[in-house]
Amino acid sequence: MFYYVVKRLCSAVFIMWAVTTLVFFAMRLVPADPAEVILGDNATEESLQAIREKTGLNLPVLTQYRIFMSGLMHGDLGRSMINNQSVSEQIAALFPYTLELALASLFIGAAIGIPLGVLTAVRRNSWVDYLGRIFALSGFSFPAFYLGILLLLVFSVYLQWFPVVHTFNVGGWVERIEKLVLPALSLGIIQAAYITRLTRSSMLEQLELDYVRTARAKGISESSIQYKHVLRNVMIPVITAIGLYTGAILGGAVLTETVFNRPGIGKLLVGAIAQRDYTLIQSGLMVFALIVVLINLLVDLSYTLFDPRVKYE
Amino acid sequence: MTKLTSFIKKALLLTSLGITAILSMPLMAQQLANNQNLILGMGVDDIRTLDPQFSTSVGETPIVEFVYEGLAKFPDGVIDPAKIEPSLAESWNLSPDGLSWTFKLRKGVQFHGGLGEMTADDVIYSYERLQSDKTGSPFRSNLAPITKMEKVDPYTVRFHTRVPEPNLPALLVNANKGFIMSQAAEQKGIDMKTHPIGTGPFEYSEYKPRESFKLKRNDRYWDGKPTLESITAQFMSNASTRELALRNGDVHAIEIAASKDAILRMRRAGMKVDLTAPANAFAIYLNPSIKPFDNLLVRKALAHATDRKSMLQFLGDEVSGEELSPLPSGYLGHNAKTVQYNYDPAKAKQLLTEAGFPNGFTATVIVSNNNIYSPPMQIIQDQWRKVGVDLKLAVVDHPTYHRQIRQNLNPAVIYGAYRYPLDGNRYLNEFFHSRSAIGKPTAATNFSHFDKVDALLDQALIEKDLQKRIELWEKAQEIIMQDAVVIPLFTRKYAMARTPKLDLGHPQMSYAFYTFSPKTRLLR
Repeated sequence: MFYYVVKRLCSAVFIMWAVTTLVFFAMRLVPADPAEVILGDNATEESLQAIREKTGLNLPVLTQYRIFMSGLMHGDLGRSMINNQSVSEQIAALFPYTLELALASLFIGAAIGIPLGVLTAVRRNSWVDYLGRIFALSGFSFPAFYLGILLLLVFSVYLQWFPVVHTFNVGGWVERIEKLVLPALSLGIIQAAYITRLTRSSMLEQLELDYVRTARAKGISESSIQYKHVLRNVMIPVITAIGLYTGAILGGAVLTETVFNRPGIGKLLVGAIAQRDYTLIQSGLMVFALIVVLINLLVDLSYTLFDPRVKYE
Repeated sequence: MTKLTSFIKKALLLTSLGITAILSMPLMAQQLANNQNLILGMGVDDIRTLDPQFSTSVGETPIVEFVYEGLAKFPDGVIDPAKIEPSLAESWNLSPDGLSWTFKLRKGVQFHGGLGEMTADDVIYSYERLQSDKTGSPFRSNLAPITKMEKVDPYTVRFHTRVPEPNLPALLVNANKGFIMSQAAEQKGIDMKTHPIGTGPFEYSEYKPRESFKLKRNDRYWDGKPTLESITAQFMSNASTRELALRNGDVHAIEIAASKDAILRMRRAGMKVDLTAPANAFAIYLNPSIKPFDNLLVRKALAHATDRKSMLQFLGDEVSGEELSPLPSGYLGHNAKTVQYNYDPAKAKQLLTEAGFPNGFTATVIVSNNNIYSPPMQIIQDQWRKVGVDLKLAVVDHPTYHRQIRQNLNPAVIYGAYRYPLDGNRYLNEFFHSRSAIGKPTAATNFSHFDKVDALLDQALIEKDLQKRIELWEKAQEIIMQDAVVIPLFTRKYAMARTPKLDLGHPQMSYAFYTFSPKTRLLR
């Protein structure tokens, strides 16, 4: 397994280089550059040239690429072209917020989705199943940002249980958790809908297989079949989906972060694209690629916990 | 007896005044909230720069204006070049030949962060920095009339101009980027983008990227200690979240969309709404370098096909006003008596037929996805379709829009502009002088490549007599309208909302966001 992990990590280096290079050149094909964003609507051709000279944007693209890659080789992710903040410091400051949101929503999604999926499968066509399916369908239909606004209206404006502004000025863990509840719920409920549906369909599929029939013939109790045998097999696609979803949340929770006014990696990267902040986009997406690779690696490794047949040589 | 009566009257009057004063003291004290920490919801994700000579975003400029000051200023909450007051300069006078202005600086004004007293060196440093090629400020030309600066003594500066500039003090205000910066701050290597250092009533406290920017009270402020202890600008790019945060009491003031729906929602929630002007004036600039917009009849037809009234109804009468001329209303030299192309679809069709387009034509127009540009352009699309002109709108993001409209790709450019010092000089030169035509090294915003009023505008620049200068601007507007290269649309006010507990201490008549003074306070 050790060599497998090393091999995957080596391939991660190539993936990160490929992502960075692709993004580097792709961003330069997009109209408008950081100088135009810095100077805004009042920019004149003269002032644009002055800013391009200051930021090195007037250099040939390949020279810019060489300078950027040379910085990366020395562990320097560079500085924002817009506000001159260190990219690594910005990512380090925001990553904990994104990670806690991803983990909290994952917890809510799994805590609701897996039991509900199992329950709706084993009680197929009962009222529990119908309610579970309605929940899953509603979750699919609701965009996270809309659910977020509804949660804010109900729990923050009318009930006044939570603040509307979810930034982290001061306060300890209690305040931090207080500010995590609604954003995590808005993502977690939707994730729960996906997991419910996936668990249910996988469970139904497994329940029809021969090994279940054999187990029943051997007189093993139904609950033992469902929870000891079937559920382990069901978990592999569910874990895969959770891994993919967690990766997506790390970079793609931008709407939720915007509605709840939470700092986060998603908002950072989308803001950087809108502002043509080349350095931040290149380095930020490279770090994001690394995170996705690591999550996928963890998901792959977790298969061995559920299926003893899976072995990494 | 008379003396006794008078004494008794005076005694009674003084007693009653004293009682009133004593009774009102606790009342006044009660009105003030214990917490004087003001929180603002700004519609940005983060600051780009707080360097006062670069900052342009509505989310940034209020912060800049709490920190920096110019030599002159307006009364709080108002932008009006006719009401200039002393600020960092105590007084000024004009030489007999009209070519030099001498400014006496206020003594004892301290820069934030213990960077010392503001002197003539800082004034010259600030304005030379603004005018320098190396700085690359987009506002470089704001102080173009100043050709030379001279330090007379540490508290006296003299500015020389090529031609008499009767309004020079009006150029040295915050609204024209006439901020005074600390030379020592640059020497110490302080990053002005994120750590502004000025002389204003509030000074830098803390910056949390992508989250907030906090200012604290400047206890040594020359114009009195502010009542507010701090101002925190929370970055809140989502409009719905800002509104909910204001209603919930999480913030005290926010930017809102200048739309009747947003205003109504805020008023229903018990918030105070302030609508301010001067603001962006919107117009469509037609580009004769792209066919068939080179045809005068086509341009006139499009002007006749544009219905401003229905546009104003859509935006809301309270937030928008009709514009009739290339120089918007409220600017010195505005001419409302130019030739007008009233809404008349039948005439538009007739003109199109005369131009050789009886069935209209199709054109692709690039438009920004920004909500100040996209909805009006969709209305125009609908109106022009009625006369057979089929506009294909290519929606792009805002930075792309600004790049592409300067690359001569658009036959019709919708653009909203506000140009201080609110006269014909800067506005008409930037939009209609040939040197400002897009594609030239000196380009500004002449999207129409217009070159028929250069002589008039150049003459106005050196004209000493104000009335004659106005006449030249008026004449230029007439020529521009006759050529139908611009279809003036409307001015859209800025809109903002605040809790009734926020007492500004002045009426908010102008600016894109609230201005605060030492008198601004939070009430219980």
